[in-house]
Amino acid sequence: MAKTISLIAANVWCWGWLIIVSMATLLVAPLWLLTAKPRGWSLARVIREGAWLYGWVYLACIRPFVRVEVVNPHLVKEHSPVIMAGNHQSWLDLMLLATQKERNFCILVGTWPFKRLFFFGPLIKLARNVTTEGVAADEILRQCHREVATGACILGYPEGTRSFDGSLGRFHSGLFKLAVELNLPVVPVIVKNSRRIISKGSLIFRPGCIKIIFEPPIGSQMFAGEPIPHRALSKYVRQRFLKALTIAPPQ
Amino acid sequence: MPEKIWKTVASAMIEEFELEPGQMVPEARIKDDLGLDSLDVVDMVIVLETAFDFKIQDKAALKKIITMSDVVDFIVATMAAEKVEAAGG
Repeated sequence: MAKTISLIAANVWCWGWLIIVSMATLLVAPLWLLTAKPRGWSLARVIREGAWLYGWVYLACIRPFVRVEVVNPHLVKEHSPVIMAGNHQSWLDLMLLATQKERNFCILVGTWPFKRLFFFGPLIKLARNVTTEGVAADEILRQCHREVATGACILGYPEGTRSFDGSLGRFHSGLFKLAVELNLPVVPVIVKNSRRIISKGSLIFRPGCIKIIFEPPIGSQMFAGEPIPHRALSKYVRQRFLKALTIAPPQ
Repeated sequence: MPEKIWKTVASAMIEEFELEPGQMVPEARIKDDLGLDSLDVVDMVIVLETAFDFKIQDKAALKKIITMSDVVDFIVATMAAEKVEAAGG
């Protein structure tokens, strides 16, 4: 009985705050966008900062039910620009990036996942995230190069989609090819337990703790002597994930 | 289908693309069933070149490859062409 009450409370709280924070963002967004010029930032940069703040506020609001433990929150900022490679279990994973200090990052996505999001979809698009589906490799590289030149990091999920059962899927090597071509280090972003909080296809929040680990950067030129350097890099990073994910997740 | 070539192709694909042995059937489609993307297909060329120790010249023919069976046929054709070239040259 107590468990059911706790589950209902968690869902009212987490969904309630999602609506409140989203509505507040909707109201504040036009004013926030106007701050671009005085700050000397691009519109994309201001939206990225705003998205980071949105995530940070939301995670703070749901803390009574969803705690987040972060390992190395300063690491990305210290080594920026880097390529962040994360495992993907839940839509919360994107928000979890607000637990680290680097706010200027663009997301590399296959198909555009925010099509159905009223207002936020177009807004996120203005943040100059990079879509890869149907885009030539040279063009993806050009777009990423442009973002990195402005000091942005790149975030990608090499599994390509969220995992249903929490297991680590096969890695696509595009993100690692980018790392090699742009000569950027790769920071593995290991998320544990977000699937247990809210899994793919589920609308039910379960109270608990998520752990997010920013692992030390891996030099992308480490495998320059291999026949396919980006594949060797991809395999190495995947091994790091497998090793980290075998440790029992927090309860 | 030449057994030796099939085994080499299958083991190279399993090793390089982290596929399951159970996925290695002749009718498996490279993109739809094995989940390889366009970059993986480019990498597959290098993997095959390394596994069979030859250089694939006819890159256009690669576009016709859809299934694992096509890969093996392609290797057989490439090896035959190499033999002819070696004999002629």
